[in-house]
Parts: sequence; structure tokens; C-alpha cells
Amino acid sequence: MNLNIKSIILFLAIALATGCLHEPVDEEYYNDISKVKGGQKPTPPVNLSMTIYSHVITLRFETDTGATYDPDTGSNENLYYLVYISATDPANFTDPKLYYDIRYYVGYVAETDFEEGIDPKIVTIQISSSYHGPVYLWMTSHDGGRESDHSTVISGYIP
Amino acid sequence: MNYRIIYIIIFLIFCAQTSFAQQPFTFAKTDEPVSVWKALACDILPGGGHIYTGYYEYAAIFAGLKISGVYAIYYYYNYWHYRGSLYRSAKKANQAIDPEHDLLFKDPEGGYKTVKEFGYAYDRAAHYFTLSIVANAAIYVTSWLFTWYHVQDINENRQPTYVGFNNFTVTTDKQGTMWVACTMRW
Repeated sequence: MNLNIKSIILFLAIALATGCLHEPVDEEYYNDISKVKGGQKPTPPVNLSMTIYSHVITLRFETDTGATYDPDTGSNENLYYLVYISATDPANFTDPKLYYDIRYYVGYVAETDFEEGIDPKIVTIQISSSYHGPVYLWMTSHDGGRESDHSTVISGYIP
Repeated sequence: MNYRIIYIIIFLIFCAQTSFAQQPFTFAKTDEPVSVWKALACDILPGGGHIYTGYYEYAAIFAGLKISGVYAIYYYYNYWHYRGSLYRSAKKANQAIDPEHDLLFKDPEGGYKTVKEFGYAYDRAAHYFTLSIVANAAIYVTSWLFTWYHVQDINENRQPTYVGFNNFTVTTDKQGTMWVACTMRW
């Protein structure tokens, strides 16, 4: 093996080693919705209402009015609806992020859990019999990547 | 390719040319003690101390380890900055797109991460960089210890040898008693 071949091999080895290096990205790298899971965020359920009877909350909401959809698909078939509940008025939250905090999260239902095109959709929530006081309830939509803004907050009282 | 890579390429090609020239060289006279300090100083270069002491198999091993170690430092330094740039970019984008939600951004290494998770990955990259420095220090210390041991070993064999011999003197006195005297010199 002469010097030229050795130099070429050495150069290729260096090129391979330097090729493995990571170049830093610029600050606008992630300012691109295609790099965000879920793309555009969906819109939340509308027309929420609830009735309370014997520590059971019956929640009604609508998603087939055309107002609830995922902008990336144009429909609501892929959406999940998350329910949040609080004993304190969320209007007093110091941080808007608390609307989506795990401590207020109750559970979710999927659009596909309901008969297609039927509104209002109904879910029931059992509250502990030891609790007496106000309840505040709101919902969001989730497309598997992004969560919508919260719906309007409804309130009730458990005697 | 930035200027640092060009410098490294020029340096390595220069080293290769000088190494491939196959000219005989001698670092120390075989009949004189080997200098520990010179050997340790030579060992700053990959395998230098072991070539100086004539332990070429050790030179090959430690040269490989040291070159790999220096490359690891350079690699993880770049990786640390790279993860930092991803973290800062994601943080800025989350604030700009939807500050009320923790968005999931596509990680170039696979999957999706929140800003907080990008922060953890940035911290991990810093740890990798630190570990690569510690590993290099360990390699250098180990190499120096072997070099020092080999120098001691060589110098021990090159100490002037003190020749010992025994001298028996046999004498007889008037009564016919035989005396034997033994003298040992070193």
C-alpha cells in the first residue's frame, strides 16, 4: 500500500468521523408547525351543560355542530374529549396552564365512543359522597398530539 | 466543514506522512538509564511514551485509546451544543406557538419531546461531555503509570552489576589444625 492510498483511507476515515458530528440548529428551527406533533390544534367541545343529582354529574356537550374539529383533518373523527373538574373557580388560576393541569383532569372519551352525528353527547361523573360544595367543569379536545384551548367553564353545587 | 476540521485534517495528514517515511529513529541510548520525565513528556502524544520505552504494543493500544478519547471529547462537545440549540429553539417555539400547552416537538433523533424533555436531553449531553473528559484523564493517567513502570523496569535492568565472589583461604597452624577463612566481596 503506497502513501497515496493510505492518505486517501485516512482522509475518508476523518470525513466519516466528522460526518458523525452534530451541527447546532438555529433558533427558528422549531418555529415550524410541521415539526409539532398534532400540527394545528383542534377546537374544543361547545354548549356544555350539567345536572347534578345525588353526587352524580351528568355532563352534556356538543361536538357535531361544526365548531369542534381538527384543522389538519377537517373533521372530529380523530378527536378525544378531556374533562377537567375543580372545586375552585379556575378564573382565579394564577397560571393559565393550570386549565390543562393533571391535577384537575378527570378522564376522556373519544368521538368514536358515540353514535355518529348525534348531539348532545352525555357522560356521567361520580363524585365522592363526602364532598359538598361547588364544582367547576370544563373540557378540551385532543387530536393525539395537541390539545385545544379549554371550553367555557360551567359550574354547579353539590349540596 | 468548519476551520477546526480543516486544521485536524492537515495535522493528521502531516503526521501520517512523517510516520510512513519509515526512517529509523532512536530515543535513548540503550546503555544509559531512561529519563522518567522525558518518557512521561513523550507520552502526552498518543503512544509517545511507550514508543520511547520500546513497548510498541502498548503504544498501539494507548494511541488508539487516546485518539478515540480526544475524538469523543470533540464529538460530545458538539453534541452538547447541538442539544442545547434544540432545547433553546423548542423553548422559543413553544412560547411563540402555544404558551399555555406543552407542545411535543419532533426530535431529529426520533420521537417527540416537550421542552422539559429537551432540557433533560441537554443535561444528559453535558454529562456525556464531562464523562468523556474524565475518561480521557483516566486513559492518560493509566498510560503514564504504565510508562513510569516500564521506565523503572528498564532502568532496573540497566543498573551496574556488582560482581560478588568468594575467597577461601586454607591455613594450618603448628598443632596441625586446619583453618578455613571465607571472604565475600560485593
